[in-house]
Amino acid sequence: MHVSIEYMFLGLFVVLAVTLSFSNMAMVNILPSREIEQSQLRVKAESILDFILLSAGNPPDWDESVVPEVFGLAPANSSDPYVLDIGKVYALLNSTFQREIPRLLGVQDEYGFYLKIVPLYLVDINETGSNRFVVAVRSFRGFPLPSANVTGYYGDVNETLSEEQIVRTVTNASGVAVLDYGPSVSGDILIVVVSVSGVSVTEVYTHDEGYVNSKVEGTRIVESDYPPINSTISVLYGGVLVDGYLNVGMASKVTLFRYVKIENSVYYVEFTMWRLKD
Amino acid sequence: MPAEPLSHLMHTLTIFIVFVSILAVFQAYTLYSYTDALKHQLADIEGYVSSVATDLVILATRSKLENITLTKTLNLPESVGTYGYTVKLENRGEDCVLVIYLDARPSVKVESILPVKNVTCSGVVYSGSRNPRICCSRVLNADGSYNMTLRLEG
Repeated sequence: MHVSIEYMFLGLFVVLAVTLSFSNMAMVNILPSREIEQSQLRVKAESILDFILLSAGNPPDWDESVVPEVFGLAPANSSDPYVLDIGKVYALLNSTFQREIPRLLGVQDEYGFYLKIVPLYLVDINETGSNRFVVAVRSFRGFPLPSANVTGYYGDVNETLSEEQIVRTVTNASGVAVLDYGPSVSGDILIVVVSVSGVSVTEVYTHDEGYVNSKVEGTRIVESDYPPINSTISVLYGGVLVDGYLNVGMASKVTLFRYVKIENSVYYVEFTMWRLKD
Repeated sequence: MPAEPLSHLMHTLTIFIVFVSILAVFQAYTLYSYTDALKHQLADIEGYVSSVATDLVILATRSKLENITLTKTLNLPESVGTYGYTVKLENRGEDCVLVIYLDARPSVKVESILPVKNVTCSGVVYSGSRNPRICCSRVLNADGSYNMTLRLEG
């Protein structure tokens, strides 16, 4: 009996010592392994994001009516980097097309992703009186933007604007600017261009929905195929949004950022990617 | 109750079995860790090759030339651990798949689908190749679309 107890203690001690050593060894292995996986995920995410933003796709002039063979948001006839085609960005709103994107990117069932295109500045326009407009400018994070250059183009489609129809001002400390046009000026559309250090965003204000598709070319208001993008456009695959925040469970994720230009306005692109299976 | 020498023998044997079992578990764990490390190295190569392939496709799609072939030399390691490996581009349905596996242990492999569809993918590169390279050709069709080819050479 005495001998058995000695051997039992010896056996227990050996098992305990080895188990402890194993668990320490496993930690030493697992931690760098996670780091490596994270850096590999970053390489993959960089590659996919640049592919989305730099490639025009195939056919290069695809739109939402056809599913392209190669997905990409760059315009067909431009080689400027990080410039996106507004029609292709609007196609992201099509839920049928959204379902095709993981397959087109070759990440279906392997990786989840969340692509978000946000206007760099959020511009709210309120008409507070006859020919008087209050423009509130906020950053994409929601903070008021002081000292932003605000230019208002007020007139009709296909009209070459006079000096009185173009008002330039700067936002105050609360990120608010007032565009005050004289009584002689009239028009159906107000196009506001907000610019900070050369980075600009365009917003259209009109009572008539038919004039939303307008833009400024020089001193002329012209029709465009699409209205300016002034709200967030996003594509989510393999995750859920809880109160606007991305929830991907226990998976570790990688988030990348880029700035892109769409129709001369600057947008902030956030791309988050994670593995759907280990 | 067995005699004391017999009791010692039985207990020593038990301890010996415990040691051998622990050794076996340790060996299995080491092998798993080693395989995992090899897979990570293959995944690094996969990330690099697929990133180069994707960049070539981006450049080819944005070229103003009607037909273009772009070639990039790949900077691949001589071996993974002590093993030679193979990098292969192949079509599976409409997908273009990059496969990398160890020559001596083909079960240790990584695969990734490139973000291009209906592209002709082909070619094999072996570790130790003197001049491994990847080529991307784009041929414009009359309707404005194009045919794309990705090829590994070396």
